Amino acid sequence: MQEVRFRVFRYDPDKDGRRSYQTYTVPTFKGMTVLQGLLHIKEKIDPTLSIRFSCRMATCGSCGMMINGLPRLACYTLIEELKTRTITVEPLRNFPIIKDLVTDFEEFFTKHRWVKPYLIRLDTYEQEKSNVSYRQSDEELEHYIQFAYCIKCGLCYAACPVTATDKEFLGPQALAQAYRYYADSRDEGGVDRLRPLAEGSRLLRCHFAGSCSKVCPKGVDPALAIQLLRREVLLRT
Amino acid sequence: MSRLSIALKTWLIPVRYGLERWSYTLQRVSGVAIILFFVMHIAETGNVVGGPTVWTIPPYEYARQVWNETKEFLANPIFDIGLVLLAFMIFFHTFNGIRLTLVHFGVLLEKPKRPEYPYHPGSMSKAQRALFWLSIVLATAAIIYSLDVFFKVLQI
Amino acid sequence: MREKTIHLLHYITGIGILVTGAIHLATVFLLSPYEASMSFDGHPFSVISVYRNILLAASLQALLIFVAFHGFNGVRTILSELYQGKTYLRIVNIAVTVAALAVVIYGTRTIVIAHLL
Repeated sequence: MQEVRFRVFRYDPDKDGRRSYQTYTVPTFKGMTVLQGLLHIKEKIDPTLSIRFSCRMATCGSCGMMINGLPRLACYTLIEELKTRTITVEPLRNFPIIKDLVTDFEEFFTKHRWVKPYLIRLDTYEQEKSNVSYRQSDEELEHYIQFAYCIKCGLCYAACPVTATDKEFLGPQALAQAYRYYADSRDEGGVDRLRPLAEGSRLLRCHFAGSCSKVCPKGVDPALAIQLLRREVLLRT
Repeated sequence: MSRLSIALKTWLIPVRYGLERWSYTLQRVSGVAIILFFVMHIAETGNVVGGPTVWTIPPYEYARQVWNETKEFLANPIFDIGLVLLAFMIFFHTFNGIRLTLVHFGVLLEKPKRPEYPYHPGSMSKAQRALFWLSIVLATAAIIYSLDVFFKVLQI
Repeated sequence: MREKTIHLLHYITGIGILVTGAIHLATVFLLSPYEASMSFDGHPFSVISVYRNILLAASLQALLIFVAFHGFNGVRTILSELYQGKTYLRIVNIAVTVAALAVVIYGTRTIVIAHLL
């Protein structure tokens, strides 16, 4: 059995508020994920370590963290594939830290909510009370289904060089969702969805650094969604 | 960390995030270099008519004398090296700028598709990446040409 | 101006620079030897001859305005990404506009006087 060293970021505002790294040695087995390594530390070595996780299968999007300098899901990253003896684990960049590896998603979800991530229908009565379902062809589905796979894990937000400093920029996740609902044939938001995005830094600060699509664990490709959204904003508003 | 150090780190260190991040950093750095050169270039060419104090038509001889002095001041290998680097920056910024303009309108990108593992994002398309490499090649060619112009090394 | 308008003008001035900048580089490097282009007068593409040609002078004037807009808008973008306070952004906008106008005025003076010289 091989051992790896975990270099884990530690920060506790209630204790001393110092940011430091603590090193743990963890025995590994074949197919072990970084999350399993962290859980080993929490169960066997140091119960004060805080992590957030839930499903262990890249569906809930809770365990996003910087692993060896790149935002990844801890449950989706095999220790083996990192090919290093020391694994550095830090909280996600561009998010305020609550404790250790746990980050605050308040701003992230505020921006997500801001783009109205739901179907807008002109006839709200029909939407609320109707007993018929909206029809959609396979071809219409293809326009947005890729962006509907988003699990809101925040990896793209941590990778983006614009969200790092620009708090007005909505970020790859929210903008991809804005396009996902705009491109949905059932949605009737139309130009009203686009108009607020033409102002300020909200959308137009994207410089196509592509980092969001590089790190997305679900293949959502936010960079593509943002460019398609920008075309609509520039040509239609 | 202060906002400025975060900014410098994320803007200027493009490692680990792939080609598009390099394009982003190079575009930003070359843009800043070009605007600095542009301001200096406007100041320098102001000497064609005799310098910053001249706001009416000066005597012909005076303007020529000032320009020749400026030319002597500029005949310095340090400026020439700067211009050679700038040739790279200008050509890269121009052609990468064309690429970015096309990409911003969704041209060169693949259509949205159902994500299937292993994922290949449609935004990292071959067409778009080919244009990035084309801008690098053209910028390198510009370096070679400008080396020949300023240092007479190749005698093309 | 709306951010979207500025954004579109950024593309348009970029394309403008592509054309006028190509003319500028061609007159300096391709159409005559570099030394001749740098001389004050006496060659078809020497410094003053270029300014005297009304079409080339107009192209330089356009290049000046395009680069000033494109470049200083780039600077504004970078500065606005650095920090977002209302006062800070207002100061950045004013400073960038003043700087761009100063460069355009100084450059225009050079082109107009050199054209008449």
